[in-house]
Amino acid sequence: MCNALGIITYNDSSVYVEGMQKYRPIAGFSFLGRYRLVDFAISNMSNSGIDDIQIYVNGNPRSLIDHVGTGRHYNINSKHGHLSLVPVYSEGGTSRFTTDISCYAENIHAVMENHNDYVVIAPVNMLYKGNYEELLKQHIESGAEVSVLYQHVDNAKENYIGCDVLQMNKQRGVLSIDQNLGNYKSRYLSLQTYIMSKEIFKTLVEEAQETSSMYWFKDILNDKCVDMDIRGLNYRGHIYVINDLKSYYESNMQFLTEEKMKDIADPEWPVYTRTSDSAPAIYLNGGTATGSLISNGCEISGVVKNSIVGRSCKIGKDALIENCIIMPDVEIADGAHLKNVIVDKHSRIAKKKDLAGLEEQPLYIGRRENV
Amino acid sequence: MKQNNMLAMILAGGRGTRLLELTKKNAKPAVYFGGKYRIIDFPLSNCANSDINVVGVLTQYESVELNAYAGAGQRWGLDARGSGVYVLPPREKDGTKFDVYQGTADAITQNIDFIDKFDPEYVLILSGDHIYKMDYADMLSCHKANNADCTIAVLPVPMKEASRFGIMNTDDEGRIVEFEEKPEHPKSNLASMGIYIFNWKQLRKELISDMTAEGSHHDFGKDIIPNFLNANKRLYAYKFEGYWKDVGTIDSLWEANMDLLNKNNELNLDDPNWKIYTEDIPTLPHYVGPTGKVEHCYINQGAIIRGEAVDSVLFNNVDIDEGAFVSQAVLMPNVKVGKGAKIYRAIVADGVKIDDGAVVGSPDSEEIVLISKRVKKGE
Repeated sequence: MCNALGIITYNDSSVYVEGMQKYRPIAGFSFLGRYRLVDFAISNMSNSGIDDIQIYVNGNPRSLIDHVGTGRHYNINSKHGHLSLVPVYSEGGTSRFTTDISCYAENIHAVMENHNDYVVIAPVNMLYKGNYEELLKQHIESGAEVSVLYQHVDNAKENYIGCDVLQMNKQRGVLSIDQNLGNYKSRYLSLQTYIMSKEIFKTLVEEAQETSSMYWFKDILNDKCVDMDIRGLNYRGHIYVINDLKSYYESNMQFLTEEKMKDIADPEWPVYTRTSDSAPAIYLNGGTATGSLISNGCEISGVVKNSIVGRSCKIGKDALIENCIIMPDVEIADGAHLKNVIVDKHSRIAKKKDLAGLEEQPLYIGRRENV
Repeated sequence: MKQNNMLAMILAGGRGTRLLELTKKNAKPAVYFGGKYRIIDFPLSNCANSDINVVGVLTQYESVELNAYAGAGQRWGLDARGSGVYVLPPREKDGTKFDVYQGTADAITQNIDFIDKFDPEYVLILSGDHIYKMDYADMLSCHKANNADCTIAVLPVPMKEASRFGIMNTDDEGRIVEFEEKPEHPKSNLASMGIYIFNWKQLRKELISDMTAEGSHHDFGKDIIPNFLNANKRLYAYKFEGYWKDVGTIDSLWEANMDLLNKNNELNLDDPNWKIYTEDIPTLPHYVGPTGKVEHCYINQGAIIRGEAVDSVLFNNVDIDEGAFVSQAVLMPNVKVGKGAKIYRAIVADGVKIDDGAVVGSPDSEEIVLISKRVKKGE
């Protein structure tokens, strides 16, 4: 048991994944063939013993309502535990710019009435194995008012653009939270994961509202760096940040190395998802795969190299799939050749097509398209 | 219970001795099949898909694992209000002496109180040993249309093999006129599948009289069905067409697994309208490493292949290391195959480790070997 309420939150408009986000919020993105991104955040909390979880979703929540359901598959106690999906709603207007603060304010009663004493806030677009029980312990021992998870990165010039970065003193006291504009290689990347008591959370939300209706949670934290004890907590494991199409592609691809694949396939720290009860994958004559992750329900008659293939895909005879992400329920016809392509769900690539993107700029095929 | 007023009882107490080590510590219905399933998933999923929502599972032999497995009814969606999978091992009752189930019929007799509680009109008797997909709701409609007292599912078998089965001889309307157990000169090729629908009131009466009948084996095939026939009750055959396999031996279990490698196999486990449900194990999709190669295989999620696998069925969390070669084999969950090891024509039981360089089976062998303990190099 972990004495915290879990909050899984969405990103501001600096994070936008071209193409994919048109169809669903980032939380609902298909990942590693059989998951949705939200599964990783929920599983972290569930594995940490957090039984009460709120998931804030900005964008069409349809796919997530279906996927998350009662939350039973996340191994959360089905009676005293509770998983709630909170769609961001804005009366008569677009919710695209609705801040996390306004959502928290709207639900502050549910937070305060919860029996846990702390809150753990985690973003849905950052994937890592976080043991919040352990981190909460460190937070309490440190005496800090707010703890922010961070990792030192030395490739911030090309990556993590628009993400939050921390300025810290030697005691890891946070001096400011800025946006990464790609000016420096070496930065302290914020994992946008915050731990604090419920009371401090409430105060921060209220003060943010008083300050500006445009304020996000990180903005009020940045303001408070001077008066409050806000400290960084170093996270040492692998992190994967999804903030555009390229990073989505690269994050997936990284799991094709055995070391990273095994790290996330940790039996002590499972990732839960909704099962579709499909049969094992079948390789028919001529079908083969190397360096790939292939989901159940697939029928492989062609050649798959260095790719991720989602549930219940059909790969036709003499088809060649290379460095691709094929989302669930896609059909690739006989003889089609694909390289560096992301194919969204339910699409169909017809005969004898040659589709190729660049490694740095993968080609994206939208949902339910017929190519 | 409301849906069709039929309750199912699965006879899952058999030892399955011909499966050798696979059933030494585990009942036959809990034996693994087809990359991700256990045998009992088939009758349970068939029940769920046929709108039967109360299922009793009669267990006896080495039942700890089976009881735990079957008791989790949500796996088959049988956990809504009024639904349930009830595990029923023999139990001590007031006024009778405690004893194991003496036969298939006795297993039901000892649970009359359980069935009465649901007050069903019909009871479906199933066995937990077979691989098949069947719509029991359709069988029930035939039972009703025939105004039958008992309906028995039958499978047409090749005439020359008929003498190995319990054979039903029927008239033109499908009414059973005679039942012969393993006849030397069979008159028909309709083999009983051990699947019966009874009107509960009639079966109940028969079971109570069978309980004290002298010389009775307390068995459906040997006692209850013949008694029903002698009493001139209306018994009908329900002809089943499709895939059905008794996986009672190592050879037949291996064959049934190999059948899945054929795309047009009759069983079709990926039919979205008749899914077979099973335990949900959280694992990644299966991973074929840069040095791995797979050809003509049936592979469940969680498997890791760095070596080569051909014509094989691989369960979850199987791990095949570099340079290993696996051919015409069934590797059950958590089997580890070491570097350079070779496996031919074999079933490897769950959790078994094949050491680096070890060789199991032979490519030209007629026989299928069962490997149930660690194999070292040179063994």
